[in-house]
Amino acid sequence: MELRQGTLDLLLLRTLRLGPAHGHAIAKAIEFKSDEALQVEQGSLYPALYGLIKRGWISVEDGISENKRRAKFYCLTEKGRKQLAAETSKWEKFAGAIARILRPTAEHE
Amino acid sequence: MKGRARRLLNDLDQEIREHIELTTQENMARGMTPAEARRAAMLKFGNVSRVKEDAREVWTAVYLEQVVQDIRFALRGLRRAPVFAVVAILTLAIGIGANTTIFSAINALLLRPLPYPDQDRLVRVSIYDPKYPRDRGAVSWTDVAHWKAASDVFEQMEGVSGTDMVAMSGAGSGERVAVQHFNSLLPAMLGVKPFLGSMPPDEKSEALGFGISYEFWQHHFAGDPHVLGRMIFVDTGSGPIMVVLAPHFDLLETGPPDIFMFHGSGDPAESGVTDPRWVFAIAKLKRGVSLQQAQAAMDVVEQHLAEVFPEEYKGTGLRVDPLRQGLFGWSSNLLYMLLAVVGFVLLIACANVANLLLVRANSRRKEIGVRVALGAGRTRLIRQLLTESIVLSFAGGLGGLLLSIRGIKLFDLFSPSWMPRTANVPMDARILSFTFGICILTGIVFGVVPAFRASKNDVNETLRSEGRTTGSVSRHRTRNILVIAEIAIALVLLICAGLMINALTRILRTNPGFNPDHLVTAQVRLAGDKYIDSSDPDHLDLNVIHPPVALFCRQVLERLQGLPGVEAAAFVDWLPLVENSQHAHPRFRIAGQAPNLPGETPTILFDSISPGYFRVMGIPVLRGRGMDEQDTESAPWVVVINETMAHQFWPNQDPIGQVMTFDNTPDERPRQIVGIVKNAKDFDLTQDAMPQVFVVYTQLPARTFPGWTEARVHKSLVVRARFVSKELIESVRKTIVELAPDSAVFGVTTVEQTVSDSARPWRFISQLMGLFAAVALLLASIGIYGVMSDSVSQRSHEIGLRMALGAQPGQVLGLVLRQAMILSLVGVVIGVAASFVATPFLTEYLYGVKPHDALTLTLVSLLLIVVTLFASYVPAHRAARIDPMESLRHE
Repeated sequence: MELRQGTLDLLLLRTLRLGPAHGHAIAKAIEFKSDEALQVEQGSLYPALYGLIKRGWISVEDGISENKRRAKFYCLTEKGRKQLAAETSKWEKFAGAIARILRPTAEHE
Repeated sequence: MKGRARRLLNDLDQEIREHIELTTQENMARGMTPAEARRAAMLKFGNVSRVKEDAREVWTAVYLEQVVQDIRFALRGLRRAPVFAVVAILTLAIGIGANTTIFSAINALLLRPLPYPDQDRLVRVSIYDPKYPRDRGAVSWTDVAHWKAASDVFEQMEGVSGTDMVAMSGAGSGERVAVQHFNSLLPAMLGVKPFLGSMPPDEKSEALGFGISYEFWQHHFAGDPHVLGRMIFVDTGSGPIMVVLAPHFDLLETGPPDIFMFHGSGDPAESGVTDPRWVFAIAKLKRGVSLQQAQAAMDVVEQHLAEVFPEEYKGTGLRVDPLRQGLFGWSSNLLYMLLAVVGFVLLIACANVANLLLVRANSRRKEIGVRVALGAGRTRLIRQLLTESIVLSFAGGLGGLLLSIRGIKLFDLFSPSWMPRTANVPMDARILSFTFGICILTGIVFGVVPAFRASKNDVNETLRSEGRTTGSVSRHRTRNILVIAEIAIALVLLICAGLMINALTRILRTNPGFNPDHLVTAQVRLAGDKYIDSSDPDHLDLNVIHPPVALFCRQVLERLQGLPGVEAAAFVDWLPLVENSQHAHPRFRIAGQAPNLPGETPTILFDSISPGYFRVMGIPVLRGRGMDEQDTESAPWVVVINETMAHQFWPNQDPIGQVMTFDNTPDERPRQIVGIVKNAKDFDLTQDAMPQVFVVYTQLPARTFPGWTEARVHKSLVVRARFVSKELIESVRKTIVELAPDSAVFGVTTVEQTVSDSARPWRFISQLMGLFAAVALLLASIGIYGVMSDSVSQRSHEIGLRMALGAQPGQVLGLVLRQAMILSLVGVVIGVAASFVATPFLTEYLYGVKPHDALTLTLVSLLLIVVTLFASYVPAHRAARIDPMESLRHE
């Protein structure tokens, strides 16, 4: 399943809530958590990350990767945290609405 | 922010490498071979360069960076294809240059604010005939006085004349100068200050004195600081120079006049019925008064005046126009028409460059394919190709701007004398932004189709075909459409030009009513106190013409007739068709008829002649007799009238024997009509002759009203010679100058030239149209040449095959020419159809030539077809010489 622009942003923010991570780790995390159902064209991660930096939702720090090399670590800012909360609740409403439409009977006890 | 962005992007490469390496390691851990693992990692990551590009684009500043990069790339590309670049830039420079030139003229005349403080409050007030509400008539000094007194919407209102060419004497030899008359308060109203001296105060008298322009002061008096007070004799009066006006004072923009004559305001209580209408009224609105309010006020004034002075104002209207509109509005039709014409030329240029770009895109297929494969996005590619075309159009625009500097000078050179000069107006922001806008527009117009086509590049297809050009059907269709459009537009312009030339020829072939062959003419304006006394000591408002005028007339005829090769000589006040003629047009009464109401007397032209005039000019006397030597001062005074006069005033009667009295002098005697002559065209060849009367120069009283003095001292000499040569013309001039050394002698030329010059407005339009149509034709033929060449090289394989199968060179030639012919014919059909929409705009200049004149349409279409066939002959010939072996082996 391919990801949409806004969705990718949301997933990135969600992933970074657990703590700073570098690009590859973020991509891995998203795929792992979704049981590999969501295939990120990993490259598209970077433009998306830069977009988030520009909006001030995440920041970037230098760190050392598991390969013992210098790497960029992305972390959630306070603004980003708020945004994530807002986006999450919006998303849940949306997802819930879709789910109700798709499975109308399942909602009945 | 910017620094951070740059640092991030600099590290991006490394980050991506790191990312891919980590994925590779994971893949290897899953048991892939290193090569497989790396490949899988790359695939998963996606297109590296595009990711980089996308990441950069997140930062807006990067966008600009890309533009700079694109421009640099475009310049590099153009350097690599110099022939393409030069042809494209030249084509565009011509197209844009023509547009900038015409726009500069429009800017100078119709857009630029006039160079006067408070110019937005300046208006022109004119009289118009409600039957022709778009025409603006001249007014008299008395009109100005009436309106000034009657209306309170104006802060000030002053009269100003056009420029007249008159004689000036006073410094040895006579000279011809441009004189402008105005109320002495006009410069103050316009905010123009005297450079030297001060303007005389306004008084209720006709003439207040003389001023000179700064420019005349510089070149005629060499900037002499003591010029004030010097006596000059100008036109019909003399006086000291009182003022040198500020530089560049040129209200009508036909070039700064030399001399200014200051007038006082007339008396508003007097009727102006004897005052000729020949000036403009210019006024300054009071602060806060709108144009509409001023117009409404003048409507009331008109009604009031029509009651008080019915003979002047009955059945007329008064119109208030903004000054710019009032002075130059008449030129807008012509100028916007020309702008449309050059717009079409530019469209053809665009089509040509688009064609070139399509060919170029074809040879760049591989390059573009590689770039797509390397990750260039489609929008990015289109943007880059468009940048390239805009770079091209700006280079062309720069060339066009340079061309237009030259072009605007040419425009002035060709334009008739009444057309305001436009070359002196400096290049301004309006012209630059027009050119800038046109560059952008042009770049997009010619660039957009090629860019979209080029970006629709199938990577696999292109790379697999090793960049070999497979004949793309749709590309050819695009190019064919472009070339058809070019031909159609070029044809429309050619038809317009053809119609104008047709009209010009028809005008020049019009019978002027006299025989201009073997005739030399010269204009002489007698100047000086010797000839005219305008001092008016008895305050009778009369000028006195001295006997030396008549003496000069007699002597000049004798001397001219004595010149070798001269058959006869004669003169008239104003020769028909001579530029700026100012015939006397007194009112008159016919004996035995009730006098006309002054306002209802139609204008007639009044000229004095020497007895031989009709004979020398070849104007036939239809009835009665012409003038002869017996018609002296003491003989009964007589008059000869022209056909129009006879038809208009004596439609059912024989005019001969009737008696008329004119009012140009108090000493006028009744004159008996003794003959009727055939009409001669007077103002130009397109207008019917006006009613005209001729009297003999010996039967004129010495005293005359000042309004008619001018005609008394201006003489157009005509000399009939066996052979007209340069030497003869020069000896005519010398003879006259010797007799009247202090007067102005000018316009010494053949009468044929005078006739031809009278068609200058039509020649001006025909020349411009012809020039632009020729450029259009040239561009269109380059276009069809390009398309046919390309088509031949695309089809070389097919043609080779045909020839291998037995086709003869002649058949191949026919094949290609047939293709060109189809394009050309389709273009012609569309062009002819389009011309039916376009040519009616020309009607007012066509002098009876029908806007859909079949002959012009046919000839011009044929011309276009022949030219396009000629242009495609070269590629066709090349096709016919294709060596089948060569072209087949090439596969």
